[in-house]
Amino acid sequence: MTFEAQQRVPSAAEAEWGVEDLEIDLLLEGIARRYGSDLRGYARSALKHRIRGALDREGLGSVSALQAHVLRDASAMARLLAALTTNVHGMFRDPGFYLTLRRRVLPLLRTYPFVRIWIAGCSTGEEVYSTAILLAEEGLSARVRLYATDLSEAVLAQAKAGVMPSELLETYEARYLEAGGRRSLTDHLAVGSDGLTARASLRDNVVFGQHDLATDRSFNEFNVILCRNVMIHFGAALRRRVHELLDESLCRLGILGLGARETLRGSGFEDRYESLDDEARLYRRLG
Amino acid sequence: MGSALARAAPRTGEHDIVVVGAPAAASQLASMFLVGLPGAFALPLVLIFGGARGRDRERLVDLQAHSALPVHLVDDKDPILPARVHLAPADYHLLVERDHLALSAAAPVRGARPSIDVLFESAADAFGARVVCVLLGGDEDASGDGRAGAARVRARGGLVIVENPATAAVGAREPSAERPLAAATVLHLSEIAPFVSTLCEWEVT
Repeated sequence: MTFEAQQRVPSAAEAEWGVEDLEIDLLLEGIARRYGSDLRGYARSALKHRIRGALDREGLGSVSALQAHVLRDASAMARLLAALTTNVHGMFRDPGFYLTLRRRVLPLLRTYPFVRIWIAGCSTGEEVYSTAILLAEEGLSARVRLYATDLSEAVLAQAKAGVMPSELLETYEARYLEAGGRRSLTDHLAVGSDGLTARASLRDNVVFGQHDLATDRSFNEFNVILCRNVMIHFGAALRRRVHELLDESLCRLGILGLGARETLRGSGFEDRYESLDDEARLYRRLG
Repeated sequence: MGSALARAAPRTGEHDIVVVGAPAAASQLASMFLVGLPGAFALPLVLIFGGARGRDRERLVDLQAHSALPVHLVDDKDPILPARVHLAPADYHLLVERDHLALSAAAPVRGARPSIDVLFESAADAFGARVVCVLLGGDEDASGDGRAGAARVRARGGLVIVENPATAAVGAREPSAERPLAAATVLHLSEIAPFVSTLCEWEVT
């Protein structure tokens, strides 16, 4: 057994930690001014962890060194932006959500002649193709257009290619069936040497576009917006801004889907929506 | 046990938060820890299972059955509340900010999401020396998840408690050669809850 009494932390070390916070402020300010990508409103704890990871990967000793590097080198900046913003989701993450989407939301969409769905913060596309599969199986593909946006061009390119790691096929297949899948997942995805590729028919009605929720404005009106596990990465003020943007972009009685551990609490828009399904975190905009 | 606690007992009132990590495969250790905490325990407690996949509801029900404190599955941006077990959901990282909890869907860290290291590191950043971090089954977990985070808590002056490997669930093994947690308090599982309880001597009025 070893135990040391609580030591007073040396002030030099405390100062050092304060310096890291200051350096991160300066890095984000520099990126916003040089490249227009604004990460200043992101949740700081998770961002800090990702920045430290980027330092390790780039072999740099301080955030200031990283700043000097990315301000001069646009390709290093693209890598950093991807590292700081890419989120990892498998297909049919939270099968219960997709089952509810299929049973409660898609029937509502049948009543419209034309439907627009926005997947905001689509990352590498797993959610886009999961949704596209549901639409195809429910016979809605022809009248639904999916708009999939992300702030990172690199990530969008990956989403657009529609290639996903094949070692997860078994997991995806199980979740697909849990989500009410009517066929086999391999009817929708081709299994090849480079991974699982979404069949062309799934991509026909998907429009991929670059859009930054932190800086860009509303670009259309949608019947459904899925913004799942995106705002968890934002601080309170940016989250409110994005809720405002989504609210502006959602038509009357439109449907908003959030991640399984997200709520409207503290969004400033609690009174604008009613819960369609508590468990699935699906909400309907009031009139 | 008595002498260990007498020697190690820190003063009350020096800590604001307790973060507890266990490998997902050793979740019963957490139940055994929680059952030892009194209902009057007044600090916020954050509990995470490294690499947990699914089964949030079952885990919640199981833990609540062992805990006098209310156990809540964390939603993003939940405030950090005292006298409550904040249970990390599967398949997200959980991070501590000054006054709330934040989830993240960043890539797994060394194969794990949730990552114990990520939670501990964020707690050290947000609360410095006022963190108590408890690593259950840590020496038994091949991935070593939690050790780096605990070392950071330690470096910032926080209190680190590591479960004595002799009581760990997966079977006794020599501690790994690399010992970043040399300055930690090592306790048997049954000693940890009583020890942590002394950190917030609740008012008896």
